[in-house]
Amino acid sequence: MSGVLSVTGLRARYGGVEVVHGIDFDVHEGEIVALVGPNGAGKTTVLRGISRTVRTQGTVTLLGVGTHGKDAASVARLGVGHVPQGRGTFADLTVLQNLRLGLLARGRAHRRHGDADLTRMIDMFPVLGEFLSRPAGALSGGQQQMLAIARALLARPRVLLIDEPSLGLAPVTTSMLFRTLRELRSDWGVSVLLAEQNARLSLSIADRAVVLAGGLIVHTGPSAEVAESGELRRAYLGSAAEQAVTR
Amino acid sequence: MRKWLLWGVVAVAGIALPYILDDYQTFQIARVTTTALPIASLVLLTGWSGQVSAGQGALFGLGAYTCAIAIVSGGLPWPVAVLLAMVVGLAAGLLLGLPALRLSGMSLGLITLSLAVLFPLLLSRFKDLTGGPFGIQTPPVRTPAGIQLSSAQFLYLVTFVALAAVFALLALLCRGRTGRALDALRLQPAMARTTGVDTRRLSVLVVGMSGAVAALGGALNALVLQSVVPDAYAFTFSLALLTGAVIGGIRSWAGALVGAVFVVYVPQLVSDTVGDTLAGHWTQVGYALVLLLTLYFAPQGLAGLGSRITTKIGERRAHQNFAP
Amino acid sequence: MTEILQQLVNGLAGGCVYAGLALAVSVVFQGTGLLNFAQGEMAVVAAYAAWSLAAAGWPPVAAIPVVVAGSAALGAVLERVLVRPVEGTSPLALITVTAALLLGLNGLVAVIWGTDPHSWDSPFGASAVRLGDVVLTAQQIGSVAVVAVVMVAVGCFFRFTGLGLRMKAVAINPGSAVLLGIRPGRMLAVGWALAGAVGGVAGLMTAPTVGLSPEMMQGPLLMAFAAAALGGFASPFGSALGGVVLGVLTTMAARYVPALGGDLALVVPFGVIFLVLLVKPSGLFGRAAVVRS
Repeated sequence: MSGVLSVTGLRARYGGVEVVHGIDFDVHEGEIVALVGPNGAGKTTVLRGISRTVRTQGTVTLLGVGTHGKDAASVARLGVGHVPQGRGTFADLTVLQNLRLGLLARGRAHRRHGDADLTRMIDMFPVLGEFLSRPAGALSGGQQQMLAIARALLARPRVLLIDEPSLGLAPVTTSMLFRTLRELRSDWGVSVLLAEQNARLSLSIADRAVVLAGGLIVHTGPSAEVAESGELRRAYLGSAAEQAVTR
Repeated sequence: MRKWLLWGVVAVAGIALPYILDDYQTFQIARVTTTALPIASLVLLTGWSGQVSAGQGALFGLGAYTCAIAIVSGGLPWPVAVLLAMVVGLAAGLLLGLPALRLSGMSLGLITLSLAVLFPLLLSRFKDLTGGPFGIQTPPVRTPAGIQLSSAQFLYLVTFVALAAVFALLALLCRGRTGRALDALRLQPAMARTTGVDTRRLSVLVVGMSGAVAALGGALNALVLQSVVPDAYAFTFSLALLTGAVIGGIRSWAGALVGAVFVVYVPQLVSDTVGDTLAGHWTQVGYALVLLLTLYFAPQGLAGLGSRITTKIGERRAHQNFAP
Repeated sequence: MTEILQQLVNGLAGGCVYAGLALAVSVVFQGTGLLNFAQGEMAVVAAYAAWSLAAAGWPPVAAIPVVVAGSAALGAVLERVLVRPVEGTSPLALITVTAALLLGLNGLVAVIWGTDPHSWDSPFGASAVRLGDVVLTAQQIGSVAVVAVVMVAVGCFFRFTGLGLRMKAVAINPGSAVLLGIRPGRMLAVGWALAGAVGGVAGLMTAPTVGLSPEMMQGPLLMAFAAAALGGFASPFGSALGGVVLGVLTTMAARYVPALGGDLALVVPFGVIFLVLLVKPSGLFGRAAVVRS
C-alpha cells in the first residue's frame, strides 16, 4: 500500500483564527478514508487545504509531488478531484455540458477513453442519462450531487475529495448514493477522502477513518474499530456539550 | 484634533492667498476651487456611495450653461443664477439616479458616460440658447460697493466660501447615521436593503446631491472664466474629473483639492512641454497612466498615501482608518 | 413605402456594426460582470492600424486578418497587464481602469495618427445593387455579411468548442471551474481577446462609412451599450440582436422625428439605456441573476 495523498503538519486559519492546528494523515491507493467529526471540526477546511482553494501551512504531497506554491487549478490537474459542499454544478449549463467540462479536465493519457467513460458514467448514474440536455440547475439535490461526483470522476482524478454529500438529501437518496460511492475505487481506480458529518453512514463504506475535533485529529484507525471507539462519541459529545455551554 | 488644526490652517491660508497673490494667480486658484467642487461630488458619489460617474463634467457644464444663460438671456443677478444652476443640477442628478443601483454600481457609470458623450452634441444643437460652438460670454462679477477687493479677489473668496461650505456639509453628512447607511449601500447593497435602509431613495438622493454640487462648481467656474464653450465640457473632461478624484483619494475631501490642482495645472504643464497642438491628447495619455498607477499602487489616492505616512509616524490613528 | 424600406435597409446595415461592437461588450461582461468602456477605442486602434497597412500597400485580404489578430492580441495584453492588477478588488476599480483605457487609447491614437479625419474607401468597392427602388451599396452588403459571419463564428465557438464551454463555466461559477483545472484569469484574457477581435471587425466595417477619426467609435460605442442594455449585457445573442434593433430605431428616428436629425440621433441610445435600466435592468434576453456584486 503506497500513499497517494499525504498530509503533514497542515494548519489553516480564517482571519486571525487558526481552525486546523497541524494534522497528519495519509490516504493510500484505492482506499476510502472517512474524515468524520462534528460541525466546525475543520473537515471542509482540510479538504480545501488539499485542493488549495484555501491557503494553508504544512505539506501536502500527491503521488510524491508537493503542492506547495501551486494554485488550485494546478492541483486539480495533478489529480485531485474536489466535490465541494453545495455541489458547485454549473446551473445554467446542461447536464451534458457539465459532464463535458469534467472530460475536458482529464490528463492526456485518458483523452482517448472519454466517450467510453461517459457511457460508463451514465450506466452508473442512469438518471443523469435521462436529463442530459436539461440545465443542471433544474435537477433535484440528489441528482445534482450525482452530477457533481460524475463530473469530478470524468476528470480521472487519483484522489477524490467529497464534502458532505448527504447534506440536504433524503435518507433514501443518501443510502443509494453511498452504495455507489463504495464501488468507485474498483470501477474508477480512485482513492476517496470523504468528509461527512454523518459518521455512521460514512464509516459503513470507508476502510479507515480519521476523527477530527476542534481542528485536531483525536483518533484514527480502521472504520470498524473507530465505530466502536469512545473517541468518536466523545468528539461529537464534546462539541455538543461545548455548544450547550456557549449557548 | 490634529485634523481640525490642519483644516484650520488650510482655511486661513485659503482666505489669505488672494492678498498675497496677484490677480492672475488668484484667477488660477479660483479655477482650482471651482474644479474641486465636481471632484468633491465624485468623492461623495463614488467613494461614499459606491457608484461611479463618467459624466460629472456634463453636470458641471450643465451648471455652467444654466448660470450663463440665466445671466445673459434671463437678466438674473449672478447669485440667483448660481442657485438656479444648483437646482437644475439637483434635478438632473435625481433623474440620472433613478435607474441607479443596478449592475452593481455600474449602471450609473453607463448612463453618465452616455450623457458625457451626448452633452456637447446637445450644446451645439441648441444654438439659439447656447451660442453654438462660440458659447456665451458672461459679464464680470463686480465687487459689491463698500468692499475693498478687486473683482478677482472677491470672486475667488466667493468660490472659496462655497467650497468650504460644501466640504463641511458633505463631511457632516458622511458621518453618523447617513454615513453608516452609505457604507452599507457601498459595501453590501443587498444587506443594506434587508436592514431597513431605503437604498434606492438614498442612492437617488446622493446622485442628486452630487449633481447639485457639480453644477454649483460649473456655475462658479463660468463666472470665473467669464465664458462657456462646448469644448470645455467634452466627455474627456468628465474622465479628467474622475482621474482627479481617484488621484486625490476617492474618499478624501482634502483629496478633492489635490485632484483639482492636478486637473487645472497638468494640462498647462503638458502644453508648455509638448506645444499646443497635441497637448490635450498627451494630457489624456498622462491622465490614463497616472490613473492606472494610482489604482495599482495607492488605491486610496495621494491623500490616503499622506495619511498613511502620518499614521506610520503617529500610529495612533491606525485603528480609526479601518474602523467600520 | 420605398422610402421606409430604404431607411429600414440602411438601419439594418448600420445596426450590424453596432451588433458587432455590442457582442464584444457582452463577451467581456458575461465573463467578468465588467463594462469595458474602452471597447470602442480598441476598435479605433484596429481601424487606424488597417489604414496604415493599406497606406503601406497591403491588400485588404492580407491587412484585415492581421489587424483582427492584432486586435485580439491587444485585448489579451490589456487584460493581462492593465486590468489584472485590480481583478477581484472592486467593480469600481475595474470600471475605472477601463475608463483610463478609454482616455489613454483615445489620446494615443490622436498622438500617433493625428486628429485630422481621413476618408477610407470601402474594401467592398463603390458599386450598388438595386432591388426594386431600394438601393443596397456593396459596403452595406459586405459589412452585413462579414458581421454575420463573425456572429455565427462566435456562436459556434461558445456552443461547440471546449474553450468556449470553459469560458462559460468560469462566468457561471469561477470557484467550481478552478476545481476542474480551469484558470479563470486565462479565460478572462481569452474573453478580452475574442472581444478585441470582434470589436476590431466592427471598427473596420465602420471606418468606410463614417471615416477615420479618433472620435469615430464614440457614437457606435453608445449604440453598442444601448444594444447590450436592451438585449441583456450577459447575453451575447441578445446584445447582437439589440444592435440591429438600435440601428433601425436610430435611422428611423433620425429620418422621421424632426428634432433628432444628424448627431442628435444619439439621444436614442441614451434614452434606451435610461429606460431599460429603469424598467428591466437585465435586458430583454438577460436573466435577473447575472449581476455580481
